[in-house]
Amino acid sequence: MKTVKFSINRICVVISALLAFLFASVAVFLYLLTDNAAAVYAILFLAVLVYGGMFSFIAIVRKKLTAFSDMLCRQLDGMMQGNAANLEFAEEESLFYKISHRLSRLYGIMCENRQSIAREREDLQELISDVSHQVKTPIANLKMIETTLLERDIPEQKQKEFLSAMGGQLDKLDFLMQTLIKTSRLETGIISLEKKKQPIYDTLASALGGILLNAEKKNIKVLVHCPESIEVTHDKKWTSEALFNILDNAVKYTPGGGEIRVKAEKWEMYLKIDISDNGKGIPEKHHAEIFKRFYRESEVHDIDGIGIGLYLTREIITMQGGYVKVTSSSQRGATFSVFLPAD
Amino acid sequence: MSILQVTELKKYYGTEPNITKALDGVTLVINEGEFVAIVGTSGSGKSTLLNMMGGLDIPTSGKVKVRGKELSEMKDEQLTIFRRRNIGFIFQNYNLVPVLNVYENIVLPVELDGDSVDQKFMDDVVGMLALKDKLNNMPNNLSGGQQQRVAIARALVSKPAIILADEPTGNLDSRTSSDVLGLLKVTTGKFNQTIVMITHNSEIAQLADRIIRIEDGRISQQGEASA
Amino acid sequence: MSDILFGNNNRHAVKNLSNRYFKSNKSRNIIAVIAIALTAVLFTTIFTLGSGLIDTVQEQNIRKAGGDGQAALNYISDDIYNDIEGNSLIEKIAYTKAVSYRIKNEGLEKWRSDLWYMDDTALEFARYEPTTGRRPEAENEIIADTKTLDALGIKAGIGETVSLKYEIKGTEYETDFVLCGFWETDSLSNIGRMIVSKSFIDSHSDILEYTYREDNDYSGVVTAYIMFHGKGDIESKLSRLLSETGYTCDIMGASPKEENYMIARVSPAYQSSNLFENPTLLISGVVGILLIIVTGYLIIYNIFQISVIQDIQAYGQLKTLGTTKRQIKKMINRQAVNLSLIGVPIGLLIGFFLGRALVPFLMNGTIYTADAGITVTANPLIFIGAAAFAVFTVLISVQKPAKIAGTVSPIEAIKYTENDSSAFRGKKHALKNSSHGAKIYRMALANLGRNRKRTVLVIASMTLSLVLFNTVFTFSSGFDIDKYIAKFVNTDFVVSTADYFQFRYEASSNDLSESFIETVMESDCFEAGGRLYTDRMLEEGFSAESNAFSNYNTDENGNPLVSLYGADDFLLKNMEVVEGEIDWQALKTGKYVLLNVEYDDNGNMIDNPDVKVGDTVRFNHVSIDGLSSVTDNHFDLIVMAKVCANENTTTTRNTGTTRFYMPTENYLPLCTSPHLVCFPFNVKGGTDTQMKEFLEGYVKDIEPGMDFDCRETYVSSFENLTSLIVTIGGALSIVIGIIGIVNFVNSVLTSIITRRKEFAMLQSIGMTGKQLKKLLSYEGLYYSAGTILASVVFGTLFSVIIVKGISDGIWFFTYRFVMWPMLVIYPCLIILTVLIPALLYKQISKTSIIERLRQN
Repeated sequence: MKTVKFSINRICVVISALLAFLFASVAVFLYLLTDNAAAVYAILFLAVLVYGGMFSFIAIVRKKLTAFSDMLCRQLDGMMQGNAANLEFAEEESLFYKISHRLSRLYGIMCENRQSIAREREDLQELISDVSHQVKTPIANLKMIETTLLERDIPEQKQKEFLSAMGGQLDKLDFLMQTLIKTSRLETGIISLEKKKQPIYDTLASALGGILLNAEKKNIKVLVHCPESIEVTHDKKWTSEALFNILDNAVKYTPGGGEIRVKAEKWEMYLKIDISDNGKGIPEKHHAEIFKRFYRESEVHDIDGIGIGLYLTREIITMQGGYVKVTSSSQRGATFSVFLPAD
Repeated sequence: MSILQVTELKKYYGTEPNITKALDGVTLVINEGEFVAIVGTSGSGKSTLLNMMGGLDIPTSGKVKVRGKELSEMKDEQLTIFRRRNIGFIFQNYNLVPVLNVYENIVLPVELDGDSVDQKFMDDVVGMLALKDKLNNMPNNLSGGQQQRVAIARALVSKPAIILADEPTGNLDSRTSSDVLGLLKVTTGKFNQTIVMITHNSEIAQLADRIIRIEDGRISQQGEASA
Repeated sequence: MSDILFGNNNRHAVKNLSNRYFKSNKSRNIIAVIAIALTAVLFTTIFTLGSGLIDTVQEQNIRKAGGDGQAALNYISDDIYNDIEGNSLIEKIAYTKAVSYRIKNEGLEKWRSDLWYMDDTALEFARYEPTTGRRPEAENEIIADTKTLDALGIKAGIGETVSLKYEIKGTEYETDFVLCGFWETDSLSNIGRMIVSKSFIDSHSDILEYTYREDNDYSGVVTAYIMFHGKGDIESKLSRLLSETGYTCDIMGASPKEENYMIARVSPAYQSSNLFENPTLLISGVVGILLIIVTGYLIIYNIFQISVIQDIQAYGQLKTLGTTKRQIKKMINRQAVNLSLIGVPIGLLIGFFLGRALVPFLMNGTIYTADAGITVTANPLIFIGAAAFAVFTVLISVQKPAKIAGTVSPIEAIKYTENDSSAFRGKKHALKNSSHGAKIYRMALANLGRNRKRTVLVIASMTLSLVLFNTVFTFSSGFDIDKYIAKFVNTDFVVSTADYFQFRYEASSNDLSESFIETVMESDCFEAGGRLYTDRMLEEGFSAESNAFSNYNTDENGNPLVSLYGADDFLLKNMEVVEGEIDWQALKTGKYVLLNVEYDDNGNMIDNPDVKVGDTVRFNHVSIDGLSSVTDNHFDLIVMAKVCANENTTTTRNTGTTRFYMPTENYLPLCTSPHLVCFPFNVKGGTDTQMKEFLEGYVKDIEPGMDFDCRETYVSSFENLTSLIVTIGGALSIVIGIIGIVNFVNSVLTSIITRRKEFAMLQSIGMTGKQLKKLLSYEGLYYSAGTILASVVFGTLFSVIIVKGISDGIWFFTYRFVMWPMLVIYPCLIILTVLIPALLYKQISKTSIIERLRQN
């Protein structure tokens, strides 16, 4: 800044000096030529006019620049206050409005940053309250069983039952812990895949294993069609986890007596795995939302889960170069299609 | 906070009895930072809606309010400048200027506003879209897919508040499509940008925050939940 | 205009876009450059012509006047010269002294040459610098012009002896001079000059004394030529000069009788140098400029309009991407400026040379000739003015198209088809009730209606050309040669002395010889003729006692002098009677006289209201002896009729006095020494050339003192004048015709290009190429039908109203309604407009249908 000011001042000085010199020499020359004092006075008068004009011009320009700077400062102040009312961005071809347009964008970004941080905190809060809510029940149960075992005299047979039940509750706690860990892992990005070419059948089987019990409990038929020979390069553990999440949702949201179909097909570019249910379906406008983090449908708040299942699934499949999509409409069940790139 | 408000938007062509209703009363609100996908069959009015939102076309009735400004109240000059500074439009037919090369096409909106382009950002975008070695080519030397990527780059580089995209991945293979969408998501997050994208590709639609279906010039009710 | 201080700094983008679009549009650029160059050519040509004309005319005037010099002081003495010489107003002054006006050498009868001394400045002014040899220094040295030498029979070479017999103040002298230099006689000069050295006049100063006041003898008279400082306002400078030095002259209101009176004049060459004094010239200049602006505007506007429409999609696209209306306008303006930068200099160059080449043509139509040499200087004002006008025309032509491009609606432009109205937010024609089916000629008519403005423009420019073409022919067929010639001579030939034809009847010592007349009458070709007699001013004169006539010269009683002629019946019968009636018997009694009335150039009689037919006028015969006059006879004559006697045939060719005519036999007794003035006569039909040749031989060999004039000279001068107008008019109408055709081609081309997709679509559903061509040809046909209709209507109106109006002001013009030129053109027009579209379409339709459909 200092250098800029310096040169402008310098320029002014130089120009003034040059002009003064010019006027003086013209005046002298004229005087010598015409011997007429009036000419000299005329030149002097002209010089006065010129300098006057220059000074007033510079004064005006300075005033304009100051006004410009003032307007900008006001805008910036408003932004610091968090007050968007001052922002004027008119659509004109002018430097001022160009700047103020950018300022308004900047302001918007700042606000948004603040808000998204607030949102994340909210989400985290919700997650914690959710988890803590869900943790209560198993812990309460465990406490009850422990108390019972300690304080009462229970026959051995019954003891075994109780211990079994404890195991179930511990499983649940384990599950909740795992979920928390996965969530945090997603945040920090520590999912590392070990891809190998192997039959998809085994991976599918592993995923199915996790839900068959629950399916049976609800009397849901599970039909699987997967040729054993299909091989594809993938990470078995995580892919199984991904498929499990879908299947788990299918079981959760299909009413009793329903049906779940699993079909694996080899296409030219992809291996396609379809998981269809005939539950209540997902309306189109939510098709995008369900893959979001922490998405829970409002009606099913009481069913276990945190809501990151599908988000995780999508992450895993996308990281392997594939994609997931859902086809469904209200009351017509849902089909989740998982595409893994064929080799 | 809402950035785009459409109220009872109608666009009719012709007069009775041969009237064509491209849009027949569309009302919606889009918030800052949202990624909205608009789906629908051909001729359902999606492109018309997008054009209205971008101030490229004049509605027969109804209002469009962008960033608090009512588009129909703006004069031609103001509207053009508003568009230049706030909206990045990705056209279905790319709409590249034939006499400028790729680099110049990309920076055109920026230069029209007398700015110099953010070189670092430009390099990132160009790299992401695999256009680095095509910067000096003329549009008629590029394939459809390359032209589309140029159109996408153009909409991004000026960091507009709103990006309106009409089938931006139509000519791209799925790998590139997902790359492009990944890029969009990252940049729009960083610069607090809103995306409204028309697509008929359900995979892409499902990457959005919200899906809106247009049918016969109206928002389809099928998408709504019915308990 | 954007704010100087805070306006957005986005000029670079616009500049870049503009340049790119400019480069990509080569064909449009070429056409536009041609059009701009053409406009510049037209402007430059006119300015060069104008300036060249003015310069040449002035130059020739100078040469005719005998030399340069803004003012001349005649018949002054050395004393007066010395008084004037040192005045501060004078930039240059030339001193000349007359030695002798009467050279007695043989051979100088027909070619008059005087003996003078001229100082160096005078030699410069008069352009008598010897081209060979040097100025005379020694007393016996002399320089002369080649024609004089020729007439004297002396070879033009240094050292030749020039023996001169000359008269000074009544005494004859004979001197042998030595030729030390000579120059080529200027073709415009009609007298020669021989110039002696200063030492000669110094040594002869005693006989060369200034005695003009006493004896009117020219020898010893000094004439000074003056160039004042600066240009213009010569009259007042002259007046100031004289009053400062104590003298006076005519223009200061003095009369010759005053003590310090001298004859001082502004040179005719410097008189009418002011353009604004000549209204017809000024008006035709302004009209010419306006016409060019309009023409240029039409072409250039059309070209840019078409170009904008072709590029409308591009502009819409730019609009979409954030280019404002103002920026788009700037783009187009920039391109126009670029095109001008190329086209205007080219046009200036071509125009200059063209104008230069055209000056001779123009000159030939006036009293000046091109053979005498043309002066065309490259005045920078010409170029600056022409460039300014051309650029101005370009800028205004570009305004509308630029506006159109800027106000385009982005979406509509992307979908642009021929329905330009919707793209520009105009009204839309929604419905069309039609049950005629898709006949090709109806489709063609509808297509024409899609772009009304363009249709009208094309038709207008073609109509303009046709109307102009017709006008040219109307003019050329109206030029009435008889009317023209009748003003100059009204008989086939006139013979007289050489002096007579050089307007020196009064000073001549020759009379027309009877032998000449007899020889002529004996010729086979001779048909009829008559003699004309009158007096010589220095010998005698006639005056009239009446206030009806005025003359500066009067008899001793103050009565104005008049001219009285005696004419043969042949001449009297040829005079046009304007008032009264001629009773031949009564006329021959000698009691009657015919009064001549003057006519102005337009054929209007300038009547003298103070005298009427039937009035009696008393005439006095005045005898002249030296400077005194004595009335020694008087007689009364009754004015029998007012007549119009031809200036060049029935007068002495150098009077301004009132003229009276009576039969020869009545006149001769009244005049002391009547002189035979001239002998006008007619020849038998077809023998003009024969008689002319005969006369030429006669006056060269047999009687060199005689000469003749004939009608043919005027015929060719007339033809020059009219051919000039026809040439220019014809050229102009051809140029505009070309412009009209170019417009037509351009607009057909655009319409084909913009409808490319449409045509492809038509073809894909079954329209054959032939049918498509038929469609286009029909459209062309409608264009020419429209043009024909418009040109018939406007052409007739224009001809009857405007041309007739103008022509009434031209005295040698008889208006005739002419239509055949247009009728001749019509078939050609129809053929052109039907063929061109089909041809053009062939060029475009070379790619396949699918490609054209896909093309965006």
